[in-house]
Amino acid sequence: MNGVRDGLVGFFLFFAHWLSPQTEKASIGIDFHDYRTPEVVIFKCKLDIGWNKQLEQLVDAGIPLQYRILHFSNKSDTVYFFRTLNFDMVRYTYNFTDSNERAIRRSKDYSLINLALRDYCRWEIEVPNGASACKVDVTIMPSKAERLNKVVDMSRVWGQQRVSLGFDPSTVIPAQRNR
Amino acid sequence: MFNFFKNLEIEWKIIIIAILLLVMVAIPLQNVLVNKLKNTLELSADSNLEPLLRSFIRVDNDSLNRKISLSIERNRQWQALIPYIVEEQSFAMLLMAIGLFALLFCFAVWSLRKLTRPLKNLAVAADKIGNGIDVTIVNKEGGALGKLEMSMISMQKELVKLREKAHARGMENAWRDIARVMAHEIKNPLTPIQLTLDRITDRFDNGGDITREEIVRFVERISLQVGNLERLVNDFRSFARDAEPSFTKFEIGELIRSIADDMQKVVTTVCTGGALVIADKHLVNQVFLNIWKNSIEAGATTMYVDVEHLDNYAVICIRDNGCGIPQEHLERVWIPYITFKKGGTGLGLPVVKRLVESMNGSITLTSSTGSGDHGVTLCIKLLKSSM
Repeated sequence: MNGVRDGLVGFFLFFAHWLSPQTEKASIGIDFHDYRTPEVVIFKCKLDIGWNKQLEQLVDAGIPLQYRILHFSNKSDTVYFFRTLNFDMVRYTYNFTDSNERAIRRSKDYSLINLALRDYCRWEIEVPNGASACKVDVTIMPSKAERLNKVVDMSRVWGQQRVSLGFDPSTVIPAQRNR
Repeated sequence: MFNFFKNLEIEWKIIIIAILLLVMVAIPLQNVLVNKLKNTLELSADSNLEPLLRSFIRVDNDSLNRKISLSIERNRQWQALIPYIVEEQSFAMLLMAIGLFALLFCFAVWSLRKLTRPLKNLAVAADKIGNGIDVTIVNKEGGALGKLEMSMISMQKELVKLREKAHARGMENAWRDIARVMAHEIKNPLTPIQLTLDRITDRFDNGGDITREEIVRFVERISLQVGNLERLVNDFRSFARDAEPSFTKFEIGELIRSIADDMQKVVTTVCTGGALVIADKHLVNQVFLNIWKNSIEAGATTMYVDVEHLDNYAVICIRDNGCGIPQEHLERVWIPYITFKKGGTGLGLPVVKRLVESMNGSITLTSSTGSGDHGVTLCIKLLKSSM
């Protein structure tokens, strides 16, 4: 059942990507999610990655796609992690990992690239309640083609080095949810 | 176009050749090589390899599957990275071409500093040396250029020695000429004086008497020759002395009219125009007297004088109706002691020229000896007063 469901979702995502206009420029979307505590607000971030065929070819060749994602506000320190999309040539599946100096977290396996990308491009950030300025920054990192021992500058393939978004958290939190 | 290129300095030639090499050779060659490389690399990627390898995957052999997967991964990475490898090589070749261009450009700049400029400086120095201007050539460079500088320095020293020798020789020759001419000119009046005195002595020796009329005649003859000697000495003194003009402002037309009045018994003068000039009035008077005297001696009966204005100068043109000077003698009239008339010292016109030039002016002479139109025209330029 899960496989059928993933397959149908992947099928629709493929058509949606195929029909939608090719976005050259990536962008970040931000949305309020919930309060973790009265002092901490959770926001959902979505990266419109501007996916293209060259990126897909490189990922399918086993060259990981890695971004450094960081965010900070006027009431908190910088928090960052590296999110890496991998293709497992043995199992023929996609997965991504989040890592920083404290921990590594691995996602589940995805059979289709579109399914993996859907989750790959979404994450959550925590911002202190009352912060008036916050910035989210996504920077593409160079990747290594292990079998050829070659480092690839992925920004040339992606078309840009970084994308960022600055926002005022109080304007994103819906009025009735303000505490 | 070829002449234009030929006349360029070497550093510009190097830069143009570098640009042409870059645009017409390096970049097209780079494109050709990159395309060849791309074709070769694309041929090396086997699209049939992956299906072939996959066909060997066994469900029960993880180790073999892993190895096959790694090979598939390698093959995929190779295919995926071919465009980027080609792009990198293309960029590297372009950088090499630009580097070569930059090298040639630096060489052009170096050749400007080390070749063109020193050679130009030497050429300018050679030109100045040729014109007699003293120039200091410094031996700064090494190699062939340094040798050239050394040669020019020794050539300059030789030239200075030669010039000094020539100058000394010229001075010696000039003195010899002066002495020869002076001897000749002095001898001319002395001979009649001596002859006259010999006649008087002979008369007395022969016991004869000399009448009063004869004595008057003999005295006149001797006085005439003494006058000629005096004139010779005065001319020589005028020519030898450095004129020291004393500048004042005066109306040139008035001076000419006063000379015309003095000379009216001998020659008619028609004067038009006038100008206020800055010159030495005495010297200008001397110049005009010389000119009038020359014209009278050449048989002129009328003098026409026009005073015109030309920029900062007053131009005084004096035309006579004398016999004129033949064309073949014209260029020698300013040379001292060259005379074409009997009894002349050859110093008149050289003195006139010297006096005019000492007052920052200039003088030119034209002449015609035709039957209907004969005479000499002298044009003198003197500085005008601004007020």
